[in-house]
Amino acid sequence: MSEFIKLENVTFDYSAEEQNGQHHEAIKNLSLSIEKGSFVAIIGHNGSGKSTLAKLFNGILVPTNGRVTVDGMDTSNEDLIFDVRRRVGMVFQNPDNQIVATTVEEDVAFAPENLGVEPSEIRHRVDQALESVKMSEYKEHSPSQLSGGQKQRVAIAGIIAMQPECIIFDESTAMLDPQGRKEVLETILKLKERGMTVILITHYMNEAVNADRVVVMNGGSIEMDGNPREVFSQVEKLREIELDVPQVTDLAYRLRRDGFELPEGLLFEEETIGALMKLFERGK
Amino acid sequence: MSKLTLENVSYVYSPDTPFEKEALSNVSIEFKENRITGIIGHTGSGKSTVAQLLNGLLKSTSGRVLLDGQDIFEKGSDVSKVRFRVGLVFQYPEYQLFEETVWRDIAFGPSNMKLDPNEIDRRVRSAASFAGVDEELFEKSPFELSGGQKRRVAIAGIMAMEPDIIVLDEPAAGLDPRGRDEIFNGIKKWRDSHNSTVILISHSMEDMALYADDIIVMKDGKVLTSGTVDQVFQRVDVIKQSGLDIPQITAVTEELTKRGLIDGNGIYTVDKAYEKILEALKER
Ligand SMILES: Nc1ncnc2c1ncn2[C@@H]1O[C@H](COP(=O)(O)OP(=O)(O)O)[C@@H](O)[C@H]1O
Ligand SMILES: Nc1ncnc2c1ncn2[C@@H]1O[C@H](COP(=O)(O)OP(=O)(O)O)[C@@H](O)[C@H]1O
Ligand SMILES: [Mg+2]
Ligand SMILES: [Mg+2]
Repeated sequence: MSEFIKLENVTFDYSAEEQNGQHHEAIKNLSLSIEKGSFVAIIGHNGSGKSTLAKLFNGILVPTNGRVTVDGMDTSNEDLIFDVRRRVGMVFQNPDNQIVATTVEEDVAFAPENLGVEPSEIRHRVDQALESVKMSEYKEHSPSQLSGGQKQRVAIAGIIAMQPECIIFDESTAMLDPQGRKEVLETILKLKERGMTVILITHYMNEAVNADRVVVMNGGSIEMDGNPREVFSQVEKLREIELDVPQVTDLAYRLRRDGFELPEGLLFEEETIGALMKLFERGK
Repeated sequence: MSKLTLENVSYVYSPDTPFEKEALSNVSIEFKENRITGIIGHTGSGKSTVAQLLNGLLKSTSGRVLLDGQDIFEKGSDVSKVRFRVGLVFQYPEYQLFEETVWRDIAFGPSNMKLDPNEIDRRVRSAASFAGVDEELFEKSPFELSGGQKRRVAIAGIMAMEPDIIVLDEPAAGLDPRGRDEIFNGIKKWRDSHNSTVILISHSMEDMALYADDIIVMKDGKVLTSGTVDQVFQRVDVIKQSGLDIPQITAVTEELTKRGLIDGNGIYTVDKAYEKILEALKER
């Protein structure tokens, strides 16, 4: 796999942007690289710098110090910014703020129209995008009639129609109910399967466990970085910064601490049931 | 202390139009005094409709809402007084802040109650402390605050009316784990110190397991089941039937119980699961 987004010693300070902002580094000397086609979850509580990081990834913000490149393109180069933003799409938290048109298909067509894509090509892209989020049958509906999960899928389709290589989800499931979250997560997993680079910012650990890699942000820096099992098995460390761990991970952690033989970093129900059954067998 | 009851309540939106929708059908609920009752259900199950009926914002199509045994819409009863006694915090209340300063926003309710200025100030400060609003923010504009802070200001605004009963419609939706815990703990403290009744609307069984005393599970405008948290978690099949996710730990302990490895129906905390599994392992 090759590097897609790369941050080298990046610092970001909002006061450099806005005159009245307080001097405060939202991102502190951070280096990170994200591989093409990977699925990276970013967790950390409010104010830890997740959204700032996301905006640095697609050039909405440029670093105060250091360098961000997307597919080799420096985001601080204004000649390239259009290209950068087309390659890295972003889906936000509130589904209602992202919908601009009066029908679903017009809404999806909005971004490619702005990119100056030809009408026949737009038609094709819109159909495909709606198909891939399973919203084709709603194409003539008004977005206002849709559920939160459906609205977010339309927002995702709008991004897909720009044919980006990477999509960032900035707490895109936070305002959804469990059903809506499931719909969006399934959509994300499908995108990843088809080779899209996915960056998922979330407070839901049961979403983060599906990623290839989990990056934990704290106070503008990376606190932990590894695969989900490596990261979530560090229960105490996560607790210290007041983050949740999946319930089964917590249970297995406590039993391991008592000396019972269980694999480290259990994340899912099924595997935990299996591991506990083995433990009971052995005890016999 | 006050007692709130729904008696055979039905509610129809847009009656006698093509959009007619029966949101509640023949619902009876008795909210126990001084307890936290969780109303839980899938989106569209009727939770927010119940919330708005409880403080007279909606008037039931049939059936009665009783406050201390008195029909809130009975002739001679003053619905605006009901709204002072039954405080309702809407879903995503942060979008409804409108005063120039945080202090004035929190003071809006008590000011309407024509209290004297010292009493208003006392209530604002007390409510702010329960809701977790720092007094340093009092002179700021609500628009300068983060989403989580705005949410707390909105909650403080209802607490400042010192209602006998407080209804919160998904108060933790979209917050990070720390924000969620702080808000729920603040609500619990408020209940303890004011001897009031709390009604919490949620779609997270996990949150309800931690913070509610009683639970009402709704589906399609009806009450599917209700009881104490312990009682409701004994009926995992019914919870699943309502379309809600059961906590990971409940799924795991149910499966181990089914296989005869532990005696653990209706477990909903990691503490309890750990205790039961340890007990069973030691017996082997
Ligand atoms: N527009 C802004 N102006 C000034 N400070 C900001 C702005 N946006 C975010 N911040 C600050 O930057 C830090 C990181 O914020 P953010 O990236 O939004 O974190 P997260 O997404 O993890 O909640 C916080 O301290 C926040 O208050
Ligand atoms: N203003 C309204 N007009 C018509 N139907 C409504 C209105 N508000 C809610 N409904 C319908 O009533 C049902 C119950 O909605 P609601 O009480 O908001 O449920 P919940 O809060 O559990 O999601 C749903 O089918 C919803 O579509
Ligand atoms: Mg953010
Ligand atoms: Mg609702």
